[in-house]
Amino acid sequence: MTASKSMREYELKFAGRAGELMAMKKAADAAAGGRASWRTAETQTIYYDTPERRLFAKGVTLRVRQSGEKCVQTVKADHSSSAAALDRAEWEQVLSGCEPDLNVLPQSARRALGTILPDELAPVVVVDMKRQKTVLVQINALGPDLEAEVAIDKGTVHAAGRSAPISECELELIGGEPSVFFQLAMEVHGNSLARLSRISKAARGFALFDETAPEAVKAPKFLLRRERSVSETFREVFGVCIANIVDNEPIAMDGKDPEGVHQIRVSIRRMRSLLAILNNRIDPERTGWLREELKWLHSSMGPARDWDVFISETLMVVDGYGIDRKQIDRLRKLAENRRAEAYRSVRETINSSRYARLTLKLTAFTEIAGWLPWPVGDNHPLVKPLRTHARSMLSRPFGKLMKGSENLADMEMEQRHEVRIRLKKLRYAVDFLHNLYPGAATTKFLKNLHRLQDQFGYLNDVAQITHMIDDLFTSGSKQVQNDPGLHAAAGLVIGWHAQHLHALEPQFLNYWDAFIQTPPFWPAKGKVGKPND
Amino acid sequence: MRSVLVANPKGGCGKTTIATNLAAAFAQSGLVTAIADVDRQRSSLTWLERRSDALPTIRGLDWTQGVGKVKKRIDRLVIDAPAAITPKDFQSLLKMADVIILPILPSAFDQVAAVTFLGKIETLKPIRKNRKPVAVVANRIRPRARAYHALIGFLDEFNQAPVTSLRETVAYTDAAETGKSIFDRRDQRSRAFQADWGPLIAYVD
Repeated sequence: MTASKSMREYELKFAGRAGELMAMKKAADAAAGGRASWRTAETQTIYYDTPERRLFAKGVTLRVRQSGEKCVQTVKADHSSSAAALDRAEWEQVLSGCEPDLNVLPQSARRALGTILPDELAPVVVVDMKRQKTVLVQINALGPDLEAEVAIDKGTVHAAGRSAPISECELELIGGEPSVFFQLAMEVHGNSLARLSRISKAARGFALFDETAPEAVKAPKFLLRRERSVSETFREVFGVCIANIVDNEPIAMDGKDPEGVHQIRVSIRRMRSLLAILNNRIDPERTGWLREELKWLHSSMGPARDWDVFISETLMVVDGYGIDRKQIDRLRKLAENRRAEAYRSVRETINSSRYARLTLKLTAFTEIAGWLPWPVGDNHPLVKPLRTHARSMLSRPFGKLMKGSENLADMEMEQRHEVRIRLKKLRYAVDFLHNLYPGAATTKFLKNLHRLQDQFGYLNDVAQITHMIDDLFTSGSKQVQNDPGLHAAAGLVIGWHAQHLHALEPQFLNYWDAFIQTPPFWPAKGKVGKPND
Repeated sequence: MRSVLVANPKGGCGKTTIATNLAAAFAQSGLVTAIADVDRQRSSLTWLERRSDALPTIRGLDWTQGVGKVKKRIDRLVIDAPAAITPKDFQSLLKMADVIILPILPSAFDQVAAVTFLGKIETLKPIRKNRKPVAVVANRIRPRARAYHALIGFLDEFNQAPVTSLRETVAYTDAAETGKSIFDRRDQRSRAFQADWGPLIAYVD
């Protein structure tokens, strides 16, 4: 294996309850062969900012950490240059006092901080923390195999008179093979309920200060590059998706904003579709478990999403069509109950050790490129540039879609559903790869594909409505089951959408015709070079 | 580099005071700062001439004969535009700027002129296309004066709110006499007025 050119940092952070952290500490002891030597340090860290919190808004932090008599000032700046790459700059000085001192900073740090008026900086967040840490060294016959730091952090974040507890375990690779590091992480984690966390202590403090609740995060668009290998692309896509899932956990658990569950499902789908697109290039033994687990996670959040859509779209559009509102409202109440139950199971899922384990395993899989065989030769298709695969990744699902689906008008519902699924597979491939082929042909293809898929999506929604309404009645009481008002409302909802679908048929067929006449934007087989420049 | 253009076709509304104090705020933050003076009256440049070498350095660029070039190593550039300027020159300054500051005094004449100007520049290409932000700054105000409330009400009618309101004080004129800004002075009075600038810094920086 070749050494990677850029220094990658491997760090994992788990948030859990005291008992879970105790268990992880014990597991670290066991990994050290009985008992690790722990050192305890108590620190107080103060984060400073201006009254407008300009530093926080810029993604810059200025902090002074006191440990015993020693005070260290640190400036950190995050410049997100792209979806996945994060350029992090950090400056650190030992101070003579314990107040921030900007005069000791180098020009680059001053530039990162920007303009600071005299007397403007004030403490915003205070973190009191007790850290117990140890360094685990696993030695094999050939020398040190792994050196990793394990830290157990307990403490409190204070801001604006409010406070929140810290209870975290951090693991950091100091030296050795990442794959061994992740094995250790898995060992230390055990089957704990402690979950991966991406929120810094400072960010928690600032959220506490402003009393902001976490918000749903939309997964960023991928900027694929033709020259990067399939494997690197895989890592980037998976990395972004895992981060997105973790970031949306609190919103999904809260359940008020449908975006949380929705974004998590979008990220799972992106990963699943990438696995599907690369199906014949990856050893199924390496990814079988992952497909299983992702499917489980996706479907365990399915009902929550279905009820969100049912309430906010299906019932919403029917409202105001001269239908008895009162009965529709009663139907909505029933649906809201089902939705609440669905969200309870979302919380159970996220709070399960299976979920905690999955996100950790998924991170390990991504970081150590678990899709690659070992040793991997230079000729392995996955280490070849993306451009060498893109054409076939697109033309395969396209060919499958076109085969035998010319006459959509004559198709029964069942057959249309099969076309819908094949179209969906093409769409995943297109969404991933289209920006490798920028140009008018691509834009047109995308437009025609998306509007067609929206129509197919509605077809599926309408098919779902009957099932969901059935569910409302079967899960309801005897009274509900025999309630003529509710049945009338249900009939109206089903009827409205069936009629609407019927009314859309001519447009649907037009979209279909337009789509099958749109030439693909990727080059034909055997043709070399970029099509659009 | 970030460039800030201070502009208003009305004279005496405090363009130079804002330009020099803003530049001093940048400079005392350790940022490499320059003032480009486009005004024939050279007020910013003569202020720099009075400025002591012991204070944080601000470079002066003489653009009174025409818009010049900016060295790459500069972190912050403040452009002090004259009241009278040809549309062509103004366009080229706008192109350079990342953000525009429009000072307005709490006086009926000034506010009408300023809003007319605001309406005009909003139709200009750089602002229309790139949506360059324009920060309206209420200058030399007395918080309890009727004129100030009239100004806020007037701006509100045009869906504008000042980014900040700078209170009137002799601290500015006292400082300017010796080439200083209120950020270079440590007396109680100057310090009390420094906080007025926070929202503007948050907006332009």
